[in-house]
Amino acid sequence: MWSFLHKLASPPHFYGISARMIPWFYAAGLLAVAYGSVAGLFYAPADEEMNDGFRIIYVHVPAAFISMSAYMVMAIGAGIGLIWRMKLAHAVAAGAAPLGAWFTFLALITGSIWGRPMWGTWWEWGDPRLTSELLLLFLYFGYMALRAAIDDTAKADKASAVLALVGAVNIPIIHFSVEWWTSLHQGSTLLKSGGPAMHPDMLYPLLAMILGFALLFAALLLARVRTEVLHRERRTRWVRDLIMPAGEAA
Amino acid sequence: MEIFMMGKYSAHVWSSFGITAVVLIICVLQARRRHRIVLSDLRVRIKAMESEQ
Repeated sequence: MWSFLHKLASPPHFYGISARMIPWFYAAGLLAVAYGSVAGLFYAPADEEMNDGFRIIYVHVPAAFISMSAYMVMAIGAGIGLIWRMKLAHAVAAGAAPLGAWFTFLALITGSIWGRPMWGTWWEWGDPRLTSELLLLFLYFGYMALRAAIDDTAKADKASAVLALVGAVNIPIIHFSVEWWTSLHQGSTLLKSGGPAMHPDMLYPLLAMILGFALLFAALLLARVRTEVLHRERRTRWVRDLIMPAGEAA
Repeated sequence: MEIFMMGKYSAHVWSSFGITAVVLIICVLQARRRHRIVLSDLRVRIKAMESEQ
Protein backbone atom coordinates (compact mmCIF):
# COMPACT_ATOMS: atom_id res chain seq x y z
CA MET A 1 0.00 0.00 0.00
CA TRP A 2 2.67 2.49 1.02
CA SER A 3 4.91 1.61 -1.86
CA PHE A 4 1.94 2.10 -4.18
CA LEU A 5 1.29 5.55 -2.72
CA HIS A 6 4.94 6.46 -2.91
CA LYS A 7 5.05 5.45 -6.53
CA LEU A 8 1.87 7.39 -7.27
CA ALA A 9 3.34 10.49 -5.67
CA SER A 10 6.36 10.35 -7.96
CA PRO A 11 5.68 12.94 -10.67
CA PRO A 12 6.49 10.89 -13.80
CA HIS A 13 4.45 7.99 -12.49
CA PHE A 14 1.51 10.23 -11.64
CA TYR A 15 1.73 11.88 -15.03
CA GLY A 16 1.42 8.51 -16.78
CA ILE A 17 -1.19 6.87 -14.59
CA SER A 18 -3.48 9.93 -14.46
CA ALA A 19 -3.62 10.03 -18.25
CA ARG A 20 -5.08 6.55 -18.24
CA MET A 21 -7.55 7.28 -15.43
CA ILE A 22 -9.02 10.56 -16.69
CA PRO A 23 -11.15 9.14 -19.57
CA TRP A 24 -12.73 6.58 -17.23
CA PHE A 25 -13.69 9.24 -14.72
CA TYR A 26 -15.18 11.38 -17.48
CA ALA A 27 -17.13 8.44 -18.93
CA ALA A 28 -18.49 7.26 -15.58
CA GLY A 29 -19.33 10.84 -14.57
CA LEU A 30 -21.17 11.55 -17.82
CA LEU A 31 -23.12 8.31 -17.49
CA ALA A 32 -24.26 9.14 -13.96
CA VAL A 33 -25.14 12.72 -14.92
CA ALA A 34 -27.07 11.54 -18.00
CA TYR A 35 -29.13 9.10 -15.93
CA GLY A 36 -29.63 11.63 -13.13
CA SER A 37 -30.73 14.39 -15.52
CA VAL A 38 -33.21 12.30 -17.49
CA ALA A 39 -34.64 10.64 -14.38
CA GLY A 40 -34.69 13.90 -12.41
CA LEU A 41 -36.23 16.02 -15.15
CA PHE A 42 -38.74 13.60 -16.63
CA TYR A 43 -39.37 10.68 -14.30
CA ALA A 44 -39.22 12.02 -10.75
CA PRO A 45 -42.66 13.09 -9.53
CA ALA A 46 -43.21 16.84 -9.12
CA ASP A 47 -42.90 18.27 -5.63
CA GLU A 48 -46.13 19.01 -3.77
CA GLU A 49 -45.15 22.55 -2.84
CA MET A 50 -42.63 23.59 -5.48
CA ASN A 51 -44.09 21.60 -8.34
CA ASP A 52 -41.57 21.25 -11.21
CA GLY A 53 -39.49 24.06 -9.73
CA PHE A 54 -37.90 21.58 -7.30
CA ARG A 55 -36.03 19.96 -10.22
CA ILE A 56 -33.37 22.65 -9.90
CA ILE A 57 -32.22 20.56 -6.92
CA TYR A 58 -30.58 18.13 -9.38
CA VAL A 59 -27.95 20.69 -10.36
CA HIS A 60 -27.96 22.96 -7.32
CA VAL A 61 -27.25 20.43 -4.57
CA PRO A 62 -24.49 18.54 -6.45
CA ALA A 63 -22.82 21.86 -7.35
CA ALA A 64 -22.99 23.06 -3.74
CA PHE A 65 -21.68 19.69 -2.52
CA ILE A 66 -18.68 19.85 -4.87
CA SER A 67 -18.06 23.53 -4.05
CA MET A 68 -17.42 22.50 -0.44
CA SER A 69 -15.70 19.17 -1.20
CA ALA A 70 -13.28 20.94 -3.54
CA TYR A 71 -12.36 23.26 -0.70
CA MET A 72 -11.74 20.28 1.57
CA VAL A 73 -9.50 18.75 -1.11
CA MET A 74 -7.69 22.06 -1.42
CA ALA A 75 -7.22 22.56 2.33
CA ILE A 76 -6.14 18.94 2.94
CA GLY A 77 -3.70 19.13 0.00
CA ALA A 78 -2.34 22.41 1.35
CA GLY A 79 -1.99 20.91 4.84
CA ILE A 80 -0.20 17.78 3.63
CA GLY A 81 2.03 19.97 1.47
CA LEU A 82 2.94 22.16 4.42
CA ILE A 83 3.55 19.39 6.93
CA TRP A 84 5.24 16.74 4.79
CA ARG A 85 6.62 19.07 2.12
CA MET A 86 4.97 16.99 -0.54
CA LYS A 87 4.93 18.86 -3.83
CA LEU A 88 2.20 16.76 -5.41
CA ALA A 89 -0.12 17.74 -2.53
CA HIS A 90 0.48 21.42 -3.28
CA ALA A 91 -0.23 20.69 -6.94
CA VAL A 92 -3.53 19.08 -5.97
CA ALA A 93 -4.48 22.14 -3.91
CA ALA A 94 -3.58 24.48 -6.75
CA GLY A 95 -5.58 22.36 -9.22
CA ALA A 96 -8.68 22.19 -7.02
CA ALA A 97 -9.04 25.98 -6.58
CA PRO A 98 -10.32 27.09 -10.00
CA LEU A 99 -12.66 24.10 -10.16
CA GLY A 100 -14.00 24.86 -6.71
CA ALA A 101 -14.60 28.43 -7.79
CA TRP A 102 -16.61 27.30 -10.82
CA PHE A 103 -18.76 24.92 -8.78
CA THR A 104 -19.33 27.62 -6.17
CA PHE A 105 -20.40 29.99 -8.93
CA LEU A 106 -22.82 27.29 -10.16
CA ALA A 107 -24.24 26.73 -6.67
CA LEU A 108 -24.79 30.47 -6.25
CA ILE A 109 -26.36 31.07 -9.65
CA THR A 110 -28.67 28.03 -9.61
CA GLY A 111 -29.63 28.91 -6.04
CA SER A 112 -30.45 32.42 -7.14
CA ILE A 113 -32.59 31.16 -10.04
CA TRP A 114 -34.36 28.82 -7.63
CA GLY A 115 -34.77 31.50 -4.95
CA ARG A 116 -36.46 33.96 -7.27
CA PRO A 117 -39.80 32.09 -7.65
CA MET A 118 -39.69 30.42 -4.21
CA TRP A 119 -38.56 33.27 -1.95
CA GLY A 120 -39.42 36.16 -4.26
CA THR A 121 -35.83 37.36 -4.41
CA TRP A 122 -32.64 36.54 -6.36
CA TRP A 123 -30.41 37.37 -3.45
CA GLU A 124 -30.70 38.32 0.20
CA TRP A 125 -27.76 40.17 1.74
CA GLY A 126 -27.01 39.00 5.26
CA ASP A 127 -28.60 35.59 4.84
CA PRO A 128 -26.09 33.24 6.53
CA ARG A 129 -26.18 30.43 3.95
CA LEU A 130 -26.00 32.74 0.95
CA THR A 131 -23.31 34.96 2.46
CA SER A 132 -21.06 32.11 3.63
CA GLU A 133 -21.27 30.48 0.18
CA LEU A 134 -20.36 33.81 -1.43
CA LEU A 135 -17.43 34.06 0.99
CA LEU A 136 -16.35 30.63 -0.28
CA LEU A 137 -16.15 32.05 -3.80
CA PHE A 138 -14.00 34.94 -2.54
CA LEU A 139 -11.74 32.50 -0.67
CA TYR A 140 -11.10 30.65 -3.93
CA PHE A 141 -10.42 33.96 -5.71
CA GLY A 142 -8.09 35.07 -2.93
CA TYR A 143 -6.22 31.78 -3.05
CA MET A 144 -5.77 31.99 -6.82
CA ALA A 145 -4.79 35.66 -6.75
CA LEU A 146 -2.21 35.00 -4.04
CA ARG A 147 -0.67 32.15 -6.03
CA ALA A 148 -0.62 34.24 -9.18
CA ALA A 149 1.08 37.13 -7.36
CA ILE A 150 4.07 35.05 -6.17
CA ASP A 151 6.52 33.91 -8.83
CA ASP A 152 8.48 31.49 -6.69
CA THR A 153 6.48 28.25 -6.64
CA ALA A 154 7.68 27.10 -3.21
CA LYS A 155 6.79 30.45 -1.64
CA ALA A 156 3.42 30.55 -3.43
CA ASP A 157 2.72 27.03 -2.13
CA LYS A 158 3.41 28.01 1.46
CA ALA A 159 1.56 31.33 1.51
CA SER A 160 -1.51 30.00 -0.32
CA ALA A 161 -1.58 26.89 1.90
CA VAL A 162 -1.88 29.06 5.00
CA LEU A 163 -4.75 30.97 3.41
CA ALA A 164 -6.49 27.71 2.40
CA LEU A 165 -6.20 26.33 5.95
CA VAL A 166 -7.44 29.50 7.64
CA GLY A 167 -10.37 29.71 5.22
CA ALA A 168 -11.39 26.13 6.03
CA VAL A 169 -13.36 27.41 9.06
CA ASN A 170 -15.91 28.63 6.55
CA ILE A 171 -16.84 25.07 5.52
CA PRO A 172 -18.61 24.04 8.77
CA ILE A 173 -20.11 27.53 8.86
CA ILE A 174 -21.70 26.97 5.44
CA HIS A 175 -22.94 23.54 6.41
CA PHE A 176 -24.44 24.49 9.77
CA SER A 177 -25.52 28.03 8.83
CA VAL A 178 -29.12 26.92 8.28
CA GLU A 179 -29.22 25.35 11.74
CA TRP A 180 -27.36 28.02 13.72
CA TRP A 181 -29.15 31.04 12.33
CA THR A 182 -32.45 31.75 10.66
CA SER A 183 -32.06 31.57 6.92
CA LEU A 184 -34.30 31.71 3.90
CA HIS A 185 -32.52 28.55 2.83
CA GLN A 186 -34.15 25.26 3.76
CA GLY A 187 -32.33 22.67 5.85
CA SER A 188 -30.60 19.64 4.41
CA THR A 189 -32.94 17.11 2.83
CA LEU A 190 -30.30 14.39 2.57
CA LEU A 191 -28.19 14.71 5.72
CA LYS A 192 -30.77 14.65 8.47
CA SER A 193 -31.46 12.25 11.30
CA GLY A 194 -33.81 9.52 10.23
CA GLY A 195 -32.45 9.44 6.67
CA PRO A 196 -33.26 11.48 3.58
CA ALA A 197 -36.78 12.89 3.49
CA MET A 198 -37.48 12.23 -0.17
CA HIS A 199 -39.41 9.83 -2.33
CA PRO A 200 -37.01 7.22 -3.80
CA ASP A 201 -37.94 8.31 -7.35
CA MET A 202 -36.72 11.79 -6.44
CA LEU A 203 -33.80 10.61 -4.31
CA TYR A 204 -31.99 8.22 -6.67
CA PRO A 205 -31.55 10.74 -9.49
CA LEU A 206 -30.17 13.21 -6.93
CA LEU A 207 -27.67 10.67 -5.60
CA ALA A 208 -26.68 9.85 -9.19
CA MET A 209 -26.12 13.54 -9.93
CA ILE A 210 -23.98 13.99 -6.82
CA LEU A 211 -21.92 10.91 -7.77
CA GLY A 212 -21.67 12.11 -11.38
CA PHE A 213 -20.52 15.59 -10.37
CA ALA A 214 -17.94 14.03 -8.04
CA LEU A 215 -16.60 11.83 -10.85
CA LEU A 216 -16.45 14.76 -13.28
CA PHE A 217 -14.72 16.83 -10.62
CA ALA A 218 -12.20 14.01 -10.12
CA ALA A 219 -11.50 13.89 -13.87
CA LEU A 220 -11.07 17.67 -14.08
CA LEU A 221 -8.89 17.71 -10.96
CA LEU A 222 -6.62 14.95 -12.31
CA ALA A 223 -6.30 16.84 -15.60
CA ARG A 224 -5.39 20.09 -13.84
CA VAL A 225 -2.95 18.44 -11.43
CA ARG A 226 -1.31 16.73 -14.39
CA THR A 227 -0.72 20.09 -16.05
CA GLU A 228 0.52 21.54 -12.78
CA VAL A 229 2.98 18.66 -12.31
CA LEU A 230 4.30 19.08 -15.83
CA HIS A 231 4.91 22.77 -15.25
CA ARG A 232 6.56 22.25 -11.87
CA GLU A 233 8.84 19.54 -13.22
CA ARG A 234 9.83 21.57 -16.29
CA ARG A 235 13.53 21.45 -15.44
CA THR A 236 13.71 17.70 -14.91
CA ARG A 237 15.10 14.97 -17.10
CA TRP A 238 11.84 13.05 -17.46
CA VAL A 239 9.95 16.07 -18.77
CA ARG A 240 12.76 16.79 -21.20
CA ASP A 241 12.60 13.21 -22.47
CA LEU A 242 8.81 13.39 -22.66
CA ILE A 243 8.81 16.53 -24.78
CA MET A 244 11.80 15.57 -26.90
CA PRO A 245 12.06 11.81 -27.19
CA ALA A 246 15.58 10.46 -27.69
CA GLY A 247 16.74 10.61 -31.28
CA GLU A 248 14.77 13.73 -32.11
CA ALA A 249 17.16 16.49 -33.14
CA ALA A 250 16.91 19.86 -31.47
CA MET B 1 -42.67 18.31 -26.46
CA GLU B 2 -45.01 18.23 -23.54
CA ILE B 3 -42.51 16.54 -21.22
CA PHE B 4 -40.19 19.54 -21.61
CA MET B 5 -42.78 21.83 -20.06
CA MET B 6 -42.12 22.49 -16.40
CA GLY B 7 -45.29 24.44 -15.68
CA LYS B 8 -44.55 27.99 -14.69
CA TYR B 9 -40.99 27.00 -13.79
CA SER B 10 -39.80 26.05 -17.30
CA ALA B 11 -37.44 29.00 -17.62
CA HIS B 12 -35.97 28.48 -14.15
CA VAL B 13 -35.39 24.75 -14.52
CA TRP B 14 -33.99 24.86 -18.04
CA SER B 15 -31.76 27.88 -17.46
CA SER B 16 -30.29 26.16 -14.37
CA PHE B 17 -29.52 23.02 -16.33
CA GLY B 18 -28.25 25.04 -19.30
CA ILE B 19 -25.87 27.16 -17.22
CA THR B 20 -24.61 24.01 -15.49
CA ALA B 21 -23.86 22.35 -18.82
CA VAL B 22 -22.05 25.45 -20.09
CA VAL B 23 -19.93 25.77 -16.93
CA LEU B 24 -18.95 22.09 -17.04
CA ILE B 25 -17.91 22.46 -20.68
CA ILE B 26 -15.88 25.58 -19.81
CA CYS B 27 -14.12 23.59 -17.06
CA VAL B 28 -13.11 20.89 -19.55
CA LEU B 29 -11.96 23.40 -22.19
CA GLN B 30 -10.00 25.46 -19.67
CA ALA B 31 -8.17 22.40 -18.37
CA ARG B 32 -7.29 21.32 -21.91
CA ARG B 33 -6.21 24.78 -22.97
CA ARG B 34 -3.94 25.17 -19.97
CA HIS B 35 -2.33 21.80 -20.69
CA ARG B 36 -1.69 22.73 -24.30
CA ILE B 37 -0.13 26.06 -23.28
CA VAL B 38 2.21 24.40 -20.78
CA LEU B 39 3.19 21.77 -23.36
CA SER B 40 3.97 24.31 -26.07
CA ASP B 41 5.91 26.51 -23.60
CA LEU B 42 7.96 23.49 -22.65
CA ARG B 43 8.70 22.65 -26.26
CA VAL B 44 9.97 26.16 -26.97
CA ARG B 45 12.01 26.21 -23.78
CA ILE B 46 13.59 22.81 -24.21
CA LYS B 47 14.39 23.43 -27.86
CA ALA B 48 16.09 26.69 -26.95
CA MET B 49 18.09 24.98 -24.23
CA GLU B 50 19.21 22.13 -26.47
CA SER B 51 20.34 24.43 -29.26
CA GLU B 52 22.44 26.40 -26.79
CA GLN B 53 24.44 23.33 -25.87
